[in-house]
Amino acid sequence: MGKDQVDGLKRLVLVGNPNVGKSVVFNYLTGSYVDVSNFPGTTVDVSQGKYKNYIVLDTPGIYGVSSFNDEEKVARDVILDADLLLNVVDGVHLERDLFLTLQLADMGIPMVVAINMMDEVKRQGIEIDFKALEKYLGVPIVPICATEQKDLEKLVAALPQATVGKKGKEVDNLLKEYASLNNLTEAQILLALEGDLSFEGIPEKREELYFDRRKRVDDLCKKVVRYQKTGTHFSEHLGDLLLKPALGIPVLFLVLFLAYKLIGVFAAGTVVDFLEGIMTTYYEPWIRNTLGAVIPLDSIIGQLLLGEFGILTMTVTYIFGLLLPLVIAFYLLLSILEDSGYLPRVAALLDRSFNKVGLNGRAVIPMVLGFGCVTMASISTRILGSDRERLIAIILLSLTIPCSAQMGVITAMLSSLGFGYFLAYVVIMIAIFVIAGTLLNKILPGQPTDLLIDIPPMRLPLAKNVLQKTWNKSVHFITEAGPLFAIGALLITVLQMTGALDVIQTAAAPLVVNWMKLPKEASTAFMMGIIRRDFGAAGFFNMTLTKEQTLVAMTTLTLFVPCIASIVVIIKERGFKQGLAVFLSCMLAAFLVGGTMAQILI
Amino acid sequence: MTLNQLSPGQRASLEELPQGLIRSQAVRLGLMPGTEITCVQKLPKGPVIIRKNYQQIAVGAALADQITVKEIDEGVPKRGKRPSRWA
Repeated sequence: MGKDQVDGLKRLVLVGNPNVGKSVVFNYLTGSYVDVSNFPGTTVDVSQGKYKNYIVLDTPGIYGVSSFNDEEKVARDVILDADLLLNVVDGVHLERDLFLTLQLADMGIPMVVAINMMDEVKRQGIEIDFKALEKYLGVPIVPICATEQKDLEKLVAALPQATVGKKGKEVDNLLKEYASLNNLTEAQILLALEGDLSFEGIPEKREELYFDRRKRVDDLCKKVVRYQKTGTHFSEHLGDLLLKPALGIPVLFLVLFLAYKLIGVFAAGTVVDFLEGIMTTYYEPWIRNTLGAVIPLDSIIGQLLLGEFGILTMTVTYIFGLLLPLVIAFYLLLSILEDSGYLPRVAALLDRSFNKVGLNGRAVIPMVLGFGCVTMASISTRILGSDRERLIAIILLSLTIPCSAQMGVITAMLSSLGFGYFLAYVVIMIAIFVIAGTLLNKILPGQPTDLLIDIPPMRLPLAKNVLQKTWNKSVHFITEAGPLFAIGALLITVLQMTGALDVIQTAAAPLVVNWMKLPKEASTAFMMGIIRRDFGAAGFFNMTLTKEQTLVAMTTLTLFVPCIASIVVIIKERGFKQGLAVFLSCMLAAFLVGGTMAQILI
Repeated sequence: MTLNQLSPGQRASLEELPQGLIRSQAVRLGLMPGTEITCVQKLPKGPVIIRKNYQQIAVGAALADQITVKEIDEGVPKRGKRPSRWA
């Protein structure tokens, strides 16, 4: 994006580490909606708003300006175009966050630094010498508490005082040395020296500069931060204990069980039944009657909009009746887990196991998300460290993880057969997860990336933050995924109207009947499973099946392609070729495993 | 010795970190040659959890194996060994 100085507007860019409350500041300035945290994938797009004579841009949360991943590249380019920077810093994590701050100062762009989380800073008895910090950095420093909207007006008042920060000696010398060589800004020269941009005649000295900066940060922290000897806080003990497998693993199971109760039973069962009932008995007939008067129901457009899988009928019911309650319940739980500092501990606990399937502990987030909705989990694979890991995670997600919509029906069907069958299903899924992951880890070139993460202190999440986050993320998800579900519905209607659906069902019948030993109507249920995974499972409800047939059907259905929306997301994330390959290999695996089971069991 | 060989409670200063991207990430997170750390705990065959002042960091086993450290003698009480008033 080019500089846009029309009407004397200045580009004010917000920069900060992940989860420092940057977006709350952005909301305060622009008054518009934006996601509150840097949860995976949600702020990759740069949000833009206006405040007085500033164009305000929010960047993804980053630990430093460079080009290690897409978020950093996006942030880097936005920062390079900035007229002034507003760096938001977590006051509890100065040692970590000031690395970015000093780097920004070295870039020579005018800035203001906001030290956020002052409530937490006080709670933990941390003392910060703001005067000394301001003197050292040479830019205005404003302590704030964004979540309580405290002192944000002081921050705003400081914006016109933004100044260029003091650079490190070594940086300053190097910048002077190369300043004459090129017609470049200091920021460009610095990033070239750090190996993140390349210009002729400027050598890469990243390591030297990073080491120098880290030393300056550590020295600075020694001078300006005073930690109170906290002694033995309960939360500290809890945090350490949760990292011990003896307690951590049982607690993890307990959390998963509660998650299942909240999402699988309460949201997917009680709430969805209620809402879907309302949608199908009141909304759908209403919209059909109202619009049916204008658009004939049997016309092509009528079918596309109001038919069985219509955009205004099924898609709307699906999004508001089923998806929204699930997504809200899911993000509620996730926000609590995120704000409590629990997730990084799970990542550390499971790192070893994830390594075996080609991932590292960070993959816990997409995998847990997958039990909520495979579609949103696939989007969140963006946080993973390498392209290889993103591919493995997406395949494992679409193959073995049943989403909450599906899990409700599957659990109901299998548990009526007895605990043994339910257990068999779980064991089969875990086995396939391990086998597929191990194979992918062997086949795909490369290694899992190393785990290197900050383990934040455990803390009690604040209800207000959790609710705000849940709401923002849910809205964001619906706006991102809604159109995808509409596209899916459109495709299925077209297949149905052209008769292609019947052709596919007839063609699949021998496979389903002879190889998988299921009734021929099962092929319809599998097709429905593509539209909505739980439709597929529900389709089996009305069939007379033996216990063995039910197990085969449920296993195949889980492994079988994810729903149409997740296929669209996977194609969007991985490109058409890989997306199609994932789709086809899941189908192949499903029929292979299901058929083999049928041959043995039935 | 390597970071992996430390036992919980042991203090050490980092010596060599592996080359490449992970090195830059480590430096940004606060780990570089000379950084003094305490081993907080070790998960069985899993990551090592270390503490640098008030920050805790999990280091994957494979990475911890590639980081060499020098043990800090616990016998001699050192200034700043534990973050006292001024950390």
